Amino acid sequence: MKRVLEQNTGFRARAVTVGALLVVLVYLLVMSSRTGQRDFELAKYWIDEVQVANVQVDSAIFLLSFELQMDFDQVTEQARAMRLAAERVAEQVDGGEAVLAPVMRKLEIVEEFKSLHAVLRNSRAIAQQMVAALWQSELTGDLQATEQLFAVERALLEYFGRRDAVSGEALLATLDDTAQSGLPMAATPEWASLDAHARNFLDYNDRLARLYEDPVYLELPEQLYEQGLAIAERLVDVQEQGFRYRIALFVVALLLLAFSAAMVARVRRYFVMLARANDELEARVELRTEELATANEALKAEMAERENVESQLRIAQKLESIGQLAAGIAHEINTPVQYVSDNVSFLEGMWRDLEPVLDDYEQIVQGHEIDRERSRALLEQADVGFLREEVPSALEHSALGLRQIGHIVQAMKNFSHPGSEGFHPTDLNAAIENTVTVARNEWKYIAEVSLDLDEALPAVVCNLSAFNQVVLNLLVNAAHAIDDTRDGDGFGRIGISSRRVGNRVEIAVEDDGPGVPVDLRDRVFDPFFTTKKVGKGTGQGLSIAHRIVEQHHGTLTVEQSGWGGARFVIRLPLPEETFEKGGADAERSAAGAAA
Amino acid sequence: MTETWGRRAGIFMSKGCRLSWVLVAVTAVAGGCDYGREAPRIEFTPPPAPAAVSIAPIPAPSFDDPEKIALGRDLFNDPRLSRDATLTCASCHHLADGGDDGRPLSIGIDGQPGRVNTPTVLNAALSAAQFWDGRARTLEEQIVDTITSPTEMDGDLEQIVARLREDDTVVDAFRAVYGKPVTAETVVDALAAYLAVLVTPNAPFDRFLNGDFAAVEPAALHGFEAFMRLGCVSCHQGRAVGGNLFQYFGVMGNYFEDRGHVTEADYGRFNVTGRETDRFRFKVPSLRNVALTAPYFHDGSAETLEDAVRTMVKYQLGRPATDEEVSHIVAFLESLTGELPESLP
Repeated sequence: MKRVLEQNTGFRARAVTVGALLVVLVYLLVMSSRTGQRDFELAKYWIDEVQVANVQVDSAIFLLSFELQMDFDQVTEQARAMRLAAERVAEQVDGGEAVLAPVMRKLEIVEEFKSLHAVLRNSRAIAQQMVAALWQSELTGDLQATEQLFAVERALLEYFGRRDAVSGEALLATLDDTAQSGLPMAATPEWASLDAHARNFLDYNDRLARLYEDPVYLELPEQLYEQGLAIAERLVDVQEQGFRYRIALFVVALLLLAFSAAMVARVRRYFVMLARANDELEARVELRTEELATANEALKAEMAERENVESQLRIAQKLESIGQLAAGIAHEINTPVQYVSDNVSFLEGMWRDLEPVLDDYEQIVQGHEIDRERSRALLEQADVGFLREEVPSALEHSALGLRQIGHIVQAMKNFSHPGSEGFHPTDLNAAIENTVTVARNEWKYIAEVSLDLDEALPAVVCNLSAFNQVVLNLLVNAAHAIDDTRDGDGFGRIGISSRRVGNRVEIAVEDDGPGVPVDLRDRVFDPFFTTKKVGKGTGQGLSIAHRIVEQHHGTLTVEQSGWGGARFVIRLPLPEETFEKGGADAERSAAGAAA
Repeated sequence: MTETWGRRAGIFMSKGCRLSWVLVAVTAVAGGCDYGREAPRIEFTPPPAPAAVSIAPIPAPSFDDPEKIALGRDLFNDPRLSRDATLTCASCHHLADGGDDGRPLSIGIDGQPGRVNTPTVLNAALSAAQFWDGRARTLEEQIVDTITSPTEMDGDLEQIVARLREDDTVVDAFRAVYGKPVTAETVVDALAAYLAVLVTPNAPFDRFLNGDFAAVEPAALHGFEAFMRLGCVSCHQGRAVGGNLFQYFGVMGNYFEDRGHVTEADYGRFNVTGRETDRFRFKVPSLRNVALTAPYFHDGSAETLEDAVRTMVKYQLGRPATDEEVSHIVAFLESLTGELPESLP
């Protein structure tokens, strides 16, 4: 799986892409919620409220101006609403403060209007009330007073109606005229009040007119409109921005979805691939296992066959060596038999010569008369002195010959003793001596065998028969090696030694033959390898010896001998090690080899 | 926009029309009554006299949040709001006695003399601005100003909050109302909530306006007629009978020259705006419960209502007035005395 993922470099790229898309998504999400759209919407709402309140204030002022409304509660309330709305606009967006100044100025104007209007209203009403009061008083009974009061009332009404500079000046002139007229009317408190209120009205009317001339009064609606438009434009911008963000958000979300789907599909495909690969692998493993089982079977069969062949080979070689030995042994036995037979024939002739002498000796002993002359001749013929000299020697030689025969027979018996199969503690020195004896005929015309055996050598657990074969093979091999070089002429040396080295026993067979060249030392133990002349060996001797030693968990090596020839060294482990580590194993394979 | 405007104006106008017909009917009835030796001469001329009733009854306050109001009441009576814990709001604003202190000039902490007459807290919520010079546009600003003014309570908001936080019952009450511990904002808010319900509906004249024609004496009606005719109503109008505009003290005469020794407090709104046109301008006070809030004017110079009315007629209206008109107006003003809401904690 991992390998599959790594092989597919697109996977990491896709993961990075999805991560980047997620980041962009979050960014867009945050940005789309931070456009400030709500602020602008609220600002737009509040600036609309300012505009509405402004209109309400203006209409309230209109109503108040024409005395269609008498209290200031509505205008005050609307002015407060306007102030609050303007403050909200200023709070809501940058640049909203621009609204505050004109609105505050407008509110000041409204305050001033209320103040001026209240006075103006009173002055007009009171002036007219005073005119009415004067009409009713007896002071206006004469014509001059009537005309004067009429002029005053007319000037007042004209000014109240026109409220312009001309009528104002006319009113002032009329008032002055009346004051200077010296009429009793002009001395009354009513006239004083009328005069004061008329002049007050002129004054306050001017002030009110100036108030209306304030640019804010006219410009505020336009300013509010423009401000509202600016905010609306920014709102639209922000809305468009938000829309763009949402579009981008949508696109990115779609991309993310597509990528995720692709990823999921890919991962699913990987799983399918994985499952398939798993199946294939299992099938392959099954197949392989079957093959292995078959191969194992074949190998086992081969091994069994090979073991069989080897074992047959070993038996054949053993038979071969025994066959070879048989001729030698026959010769060995024949020599003592020869001279024992000669001695017996000699003793038989002696006995024929000695028998008449013994007969005469009997006659004499019994007192009978014998022919002395003949007896003397017989005695002479028997040559007793010679007999005395030769017979014991003949008997001794015969006994020696018979002992030698017995010795050979015993060695043969020991060499292939029926009980020598299987692993038993064995006296290797005795085995070596037996083998040397049995193979005597193989070496006695070629070399002198010297034994250098360690008397204190401990018993080694081994297969005696197999061990004998190893020593025999090495001995014969040495003899042949010497024989090959000397061409039947001259006499070589073979030395066999045994000794203990630590936990091992070392048996060395060396000769003064040609030795084994260094480059052939690795090959001498190969089966069928031989340097001997055709017909002198099968090439199996050393190979078999090597295998036998291996079965004993020992080693068989070849090296240069001090005498110039080859030195074959058998190293065998001592019993405790052998038995502790692999005695049973060795026993089994040895048994197989024996079979 | 137009619709809203039309709707609001329509309601207002229709109410105004209704009340004007009521007034016409009632004055006709009153005019027909023989309640004295001399039949009053009721002038319906000239026409520019106020044609519509410009005084509206006070609506009943809302008690939506009684716990907050109770908290405000406790604070109103809490001496911890003053520097040395000797003064409460109620020290100068006797609710049972007109909502002011009855002195010509207020007395602040350490017995310091105040610069102006103590305004009433009653119906303060109906005024467009607070204080004689209108320096506070809202109740909240007025509360902070009064508590922290060195000549009044001389308190420190942080210190007040620290003091209140030591009191577990106060802390619990604040937590119950605001869900958070005591802060300067919540203290002011609770007080403002309390002031907002300190209004006095159900004055006899309000009951009259609402159709109870027997609620006021005929003298009061005559007084109302004179009030309108003489021009008082030009400034004293609306629900609060004033309180929604600024006006010169001495429109038709120089009050301060006649009174003598002008102080800085006499400059009125000039002290706030710095505009020369605002010199000697004051907030027109509400005439609600005016019968209970003697002495009168920002300088406390008028001891009785009658004095106050005469001073006003002289300096503001610049016209002669008869004793009868003055007494009628006083009768009318007395009919503006309302009741504190029954549900007030």
